[in-house]
Amino acid sequence: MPQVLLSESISAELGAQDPWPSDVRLFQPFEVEQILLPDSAACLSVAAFLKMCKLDYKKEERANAEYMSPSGRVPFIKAGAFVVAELDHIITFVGHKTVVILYRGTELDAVVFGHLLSCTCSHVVILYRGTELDAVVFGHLYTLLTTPLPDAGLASVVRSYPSLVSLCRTIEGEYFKTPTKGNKGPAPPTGQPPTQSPQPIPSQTTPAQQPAGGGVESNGEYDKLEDISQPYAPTYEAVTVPRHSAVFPWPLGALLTWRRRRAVLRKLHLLGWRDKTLQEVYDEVNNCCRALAQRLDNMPFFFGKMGTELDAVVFGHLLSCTCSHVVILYRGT
Amino acid sequence: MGTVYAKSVDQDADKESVRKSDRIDLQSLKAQVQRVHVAGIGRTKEDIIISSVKDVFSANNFQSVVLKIHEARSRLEELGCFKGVDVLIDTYEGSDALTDGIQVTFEVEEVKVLGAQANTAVGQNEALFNGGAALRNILGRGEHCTVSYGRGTKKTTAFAVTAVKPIHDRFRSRVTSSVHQSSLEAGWSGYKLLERGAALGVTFNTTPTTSHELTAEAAWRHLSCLSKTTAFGVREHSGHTLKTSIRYCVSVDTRDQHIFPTRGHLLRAQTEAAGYGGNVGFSKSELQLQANQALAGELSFDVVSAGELPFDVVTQVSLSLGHLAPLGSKGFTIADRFFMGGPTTFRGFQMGGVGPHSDKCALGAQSYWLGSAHAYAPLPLLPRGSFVDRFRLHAWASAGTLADPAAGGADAAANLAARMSLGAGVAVNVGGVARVELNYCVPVRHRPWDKTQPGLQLGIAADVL
Repeated sequence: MPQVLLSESISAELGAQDPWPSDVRLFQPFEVEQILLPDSAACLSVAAFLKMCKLDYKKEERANAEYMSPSGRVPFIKAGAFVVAELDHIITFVGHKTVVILYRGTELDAVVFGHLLSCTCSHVVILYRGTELDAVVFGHLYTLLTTPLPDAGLASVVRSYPSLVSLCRTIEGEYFKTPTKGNKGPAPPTGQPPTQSPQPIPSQTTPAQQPAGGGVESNGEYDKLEDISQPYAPTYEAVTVPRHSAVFPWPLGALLTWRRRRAVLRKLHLLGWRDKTLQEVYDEVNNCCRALAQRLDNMPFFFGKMGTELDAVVFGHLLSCTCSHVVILYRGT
Repeated sequence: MGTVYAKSVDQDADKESVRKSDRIDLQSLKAQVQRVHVAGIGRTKEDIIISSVKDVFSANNFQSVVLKIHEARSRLEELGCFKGVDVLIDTYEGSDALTDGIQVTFEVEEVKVLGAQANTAVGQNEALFNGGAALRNILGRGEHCTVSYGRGTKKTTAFAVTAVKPIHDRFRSRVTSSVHQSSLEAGWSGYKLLERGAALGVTFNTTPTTSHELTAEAAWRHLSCLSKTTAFGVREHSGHTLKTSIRYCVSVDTRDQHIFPTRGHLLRAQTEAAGYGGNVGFSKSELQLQANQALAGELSFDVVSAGELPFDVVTQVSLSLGHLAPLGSKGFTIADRFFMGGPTTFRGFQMGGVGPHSDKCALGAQSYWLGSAHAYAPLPLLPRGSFVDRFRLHAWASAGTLADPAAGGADAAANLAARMSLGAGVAVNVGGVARVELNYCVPVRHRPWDKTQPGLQLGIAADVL
């Protein structure tokens, strides 16, 4: 098992006993005035993921979302009594529920189970893993593509990969433009200088190896991306400062922005990204985009519709992951 | 008072009358202060000393001289410049001496500029240990500056730099400015509050028992959750807020002592308006009343071992009210709301145990009232002495509620109902600054969500209503 904190496991385990609650709320900062680029990427990723899983939620914008979150990161969801923050934990949380729903369904009816197993189950699960990656990529790239930054270099790097752009268009068109349950897609992302969302992707392309690893990785990369632009002065002054301090009164805004900048720079320094030039960052993004584009090939999604092809992978993934009971059921049938 | 040396004056008539009665009638002894010396002055400025002692010259008989000297001595001590003040009265023997001329010498010892301090203070049912350094009488007019760091028994920490400038007028005004940082863990609500702020205030007394305080304050507060199980209703308030407020507090205190008063009353009213600047806006008003009456005599009887000492019973009635209202559109956080319960406010309930709760976290409320009646008596059957006198037996009954009157819903309506508790216990006066109580409490009326604490409850408080 990957590094999942005990408490996370317990909460996910307990949470799994209920179906997906009807009053799930997704908390994030104000999109128009406040949110920063990396946060926007994370929020979009979660939103895309939840929509792909066809899970209902209600988006709530709070100025203090970052501080309300148990981990200090946005976004987070409140599902019943559970407050789960950040993409990887949300995916784990949702994953438990998905599995349990399947499990119950199959228990009720062997015929249904067989049916599920042969078509739906694999499909659902594959979709689930695939969309996780899709959602992450979409969140980051879409943010890059749509945010007006002082320097258009990042966006142009991404634009040079038509398949990635079309992936974003597809997801946007399919999940965000149709007003499902009154949720409008997170249209105007913004903010802070993100960096490369792509880094997590290479590792994720082999899902069988890394059940929960995707989330962990995306975190690390998220950090890096996040603040490459912090050191980049025009972006910091033109985007980060006004947005980050938008919801705070003078002089608190300037103070908190300075604190965040300091923390981010420290983290970047630890990751070795502190002294990279803008061009080096663009190159990294370019590399990631190339890897992604290759992986995507000509399919609409990363895992396409080729459910059967991936059955084995998914099974292995399930096995190593969490759902031992599903496996047992499978054997039983 | 210092030693008084009074030489007899050659006035036969006075001598006669004095000797006849074997008593000295000080009023009839003529005396005129001709010189005042103040010895031991280092950096203290003359003007404040002159204004403190010049009143002595107005005396025209020996009794008023002694009284004026006593007053002058108190004033000198209150300047905050001197460690000790001694007085010497002598006949004046200069070339221009009158027959009844006397001279007064104040021997003062100045405080050292740099001092250290350590003390114990009392907060919300916890003891705080403070240590720090002080610069005293910096500019020669009683100005002082202190730096202190305190740590509480319940993870409260506080750091403060305070500068005080006394203005030596008849209102005994003082200008106080401070910068502070404090951290408080409100376990009853599951949040932690880190506050950094600066304040500028004026205090003045319009009568000896009436003091006023006007403070302007700016505070940066960071509220965070103590754990993952903190209720979402509390979690919603997390984050940074900037509060700027003006606070006015008036108190009339005629009690004979703070810890176990036997007579007198206390009235304290405080109002605070926040919202000019910052992102918090509210108006908060509180009123506290306390009246004490000794019933000595009526219930007294002789205790064998204590001889003739009466069994003094003091009754105390107190009432406190508070209301918090939003001001403008800025709103306020849970840290601004009122909490009730615990041995310092409502015995028989846990800290913050009264009022609305969510997931076992107290949410606080915008209004409260709390009334209680106490009866205090000394420990019976024991010889009276300075140690035994620190203890009191007491019995009380309290009633009050904490609720949002404007809130809807059945729970909100139920919250309006009064809670009641009663009990008895022992209270100890600790050093004249705090009292520690051990009580047996019976919560008589409460709501299902209230956190009661029936049975024994230990409390520590500086100011108990």
